[in-house]
Amino acid sequence: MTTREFYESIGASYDSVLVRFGSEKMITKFAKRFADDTTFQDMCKALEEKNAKEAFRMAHTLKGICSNLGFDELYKASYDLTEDLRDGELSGYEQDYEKVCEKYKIVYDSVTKIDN
Amino acid sequence: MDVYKLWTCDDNSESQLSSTSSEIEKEIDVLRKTFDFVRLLKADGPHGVSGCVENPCQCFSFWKVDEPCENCISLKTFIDKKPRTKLEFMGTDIYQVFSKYVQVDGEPYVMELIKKLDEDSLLGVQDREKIMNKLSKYHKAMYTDALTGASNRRYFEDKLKKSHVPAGVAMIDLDDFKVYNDTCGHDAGDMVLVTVVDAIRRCIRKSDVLVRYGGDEFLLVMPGIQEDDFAHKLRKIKRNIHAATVPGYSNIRLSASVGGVFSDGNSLDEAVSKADKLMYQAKTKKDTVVTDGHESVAGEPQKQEILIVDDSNINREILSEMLGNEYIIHEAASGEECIDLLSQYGTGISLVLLDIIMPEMDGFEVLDYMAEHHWIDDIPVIMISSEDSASSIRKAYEFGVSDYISRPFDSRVVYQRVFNTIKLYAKQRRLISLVSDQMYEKDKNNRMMISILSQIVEFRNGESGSHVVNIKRITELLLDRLPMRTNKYTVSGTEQLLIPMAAALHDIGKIGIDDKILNKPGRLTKEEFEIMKTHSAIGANMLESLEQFRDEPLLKIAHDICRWHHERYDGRGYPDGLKGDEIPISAQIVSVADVYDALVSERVYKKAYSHEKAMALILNGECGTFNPVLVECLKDIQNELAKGVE
Repeated sequence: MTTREFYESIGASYDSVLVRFGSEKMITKFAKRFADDTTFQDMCKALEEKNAKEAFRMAHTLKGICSNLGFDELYKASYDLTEDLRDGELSGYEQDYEKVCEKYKIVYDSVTKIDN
Repeated sequence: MDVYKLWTCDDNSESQLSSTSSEIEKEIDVLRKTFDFVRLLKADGPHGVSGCVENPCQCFSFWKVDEPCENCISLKTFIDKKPRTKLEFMGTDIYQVFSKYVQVDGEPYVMELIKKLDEDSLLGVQDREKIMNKLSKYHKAMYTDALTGASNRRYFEDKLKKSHVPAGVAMIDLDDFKVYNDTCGHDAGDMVLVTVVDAIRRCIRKSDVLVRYGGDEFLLVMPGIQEDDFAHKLRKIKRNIHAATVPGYSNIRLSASVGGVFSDGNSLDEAVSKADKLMYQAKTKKDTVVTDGHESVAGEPQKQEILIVDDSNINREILSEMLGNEYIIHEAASGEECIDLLSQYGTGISLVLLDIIMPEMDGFEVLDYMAEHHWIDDIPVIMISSEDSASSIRKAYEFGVSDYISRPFDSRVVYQRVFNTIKLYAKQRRLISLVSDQMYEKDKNNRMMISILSQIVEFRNGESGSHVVNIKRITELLLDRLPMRTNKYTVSGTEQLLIPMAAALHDIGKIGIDDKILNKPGRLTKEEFEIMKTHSAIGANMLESLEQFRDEPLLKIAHDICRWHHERYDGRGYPDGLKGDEIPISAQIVSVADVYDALVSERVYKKAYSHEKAMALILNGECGTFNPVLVECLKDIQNELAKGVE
């Protein structure tokens, strides 16, 4: 699929990213680049290891990347999770974590289908 | 009622303006023979040919515009009942409009009479010229910079910005204008600008446009110029500015940095922003011309280097790509890496883009480190983060960051903020180096004046001339040593510099001593020695009489040294017999230096002693008693002293 179709498939606005990035090529490059990024996996690992500080940091980084790439749904989910983890306590974050996983899967599945 | 009557009646005599609707219709028929349009406007709705006056009034639709005229005279007339006229444009046609308050069947109306002014109805040829002159003068005044006579920024905004005319476009920025303005006054600054405009004018054609774009920034638009010609002209302008003298300020040397591009079918606005970037590249060298991809007078401009610090690869790459290829980009994935790179490159890094949340050392810790090492003064930092709570932004500014960019990034915002900050710091760095050069110059001149003065004294004393140099050196050595021996005396940084300088003046009072006594080869008689002793008070009095500089620290220190450099720690010196620390520490130090150097130098009345002999004489108290701490200090610096004697 095209990059525009990818953005539509994940419920995000291609045009608003285009306005910020200024070139279609750049959006495609970085959207595809997201598939290789390990921030999400690092975050999951930190949560498994009950490392609250690292999990917060990774959620925060994920949030920043999604914000830049305009992955609105995943951004919102990681935003909530970041706030859950900010106080360094590993409690009450589970629901938001599940949401992040769910939204990540949607983005990941689509992003790998972008044509070259 | 005839036309005449309608338009000559007294403004407020409403009775005379009252008509019935049939009267007014006849009236309108008559008026239509003279006017192109006649209409009645009512406040609350249509009547005959009318619209309504109050909003939402549609009367403006007549003028083929979508909104009420700014200068709606009917509304004003409706409110205050006074007649008015105005000129209104539609396309290229001019209409004259009259508004008049009338009452029809007791209801208030405004009658509007509209007459198109064609060529025939215009004034006689002479008057027409007058009007055109008046209008064009107004035009000229509005678009001319009052000081320099160049076009002003408004002219650029209104007339040039959107133009796509093929042209050479150059930004010309004066180097260090702020310095002239601040140090020589605003009159000098104004004269500089006038001079520069004259210098540029001499190089350009009538068809070229020179705009005063900002305070000291000029924009030159040269339509249709050839590429070679353009570069040649810009270099000529640069040379002309360099060679120009500012009337009344012959000490000012001008130079300018110039960036030039071709508009190549783009709007002038875009060309200006490119020219601005090249100008700023030229600025790093100063007195330089940089044209689009072509030679610059002083070699290739250097690319600025930027350090991006973010723990996320993607985010770093996005920023890097947004900044394009005009910068050399360094990347750091952590605070520690950032510090490493900064230690390595120093001010070679022109700007740091810094994330807040990072593992181990976070953005705030990096800022803390930068502040501690005074890097933040020289290397601007722009914070980037999605951590955009007011408190973290405030905290970042408190740490001295220049700007703050929050996610998501917008490429134009990122680019512009980076560009602006680098530009600002480049200017600032150049100003700092200029100011420190000047301070050094000034300091050098001061030291030179003092050397001349003390040389005169020495020459008259028949001394070698090295005495002053030696005293200054020994004083410095003792001053450096003193705080390692005791913390009893507080010598400020300024005093540390001023005391050696003032030490050179310690014997200026000898100017007032008779030659015969001063240069007597043999031993002085008791009377002669008493006269000789007055030199310390004479020197002090000379300095005291310099009313104008009485509060200057240098003068105060010099006074103390002159008066008391022959006092002794045990109170047996002269002229005042001060004891211990009643004698200012400056004078105590100079007295030790003076005695040591007198011993190791040849004088009319004695041969030079060796360093060892001189030290022995002082330590045995044969030259009077000194502050024991200073004697210790003197011992500490023996090696350096011995070298000096050789």
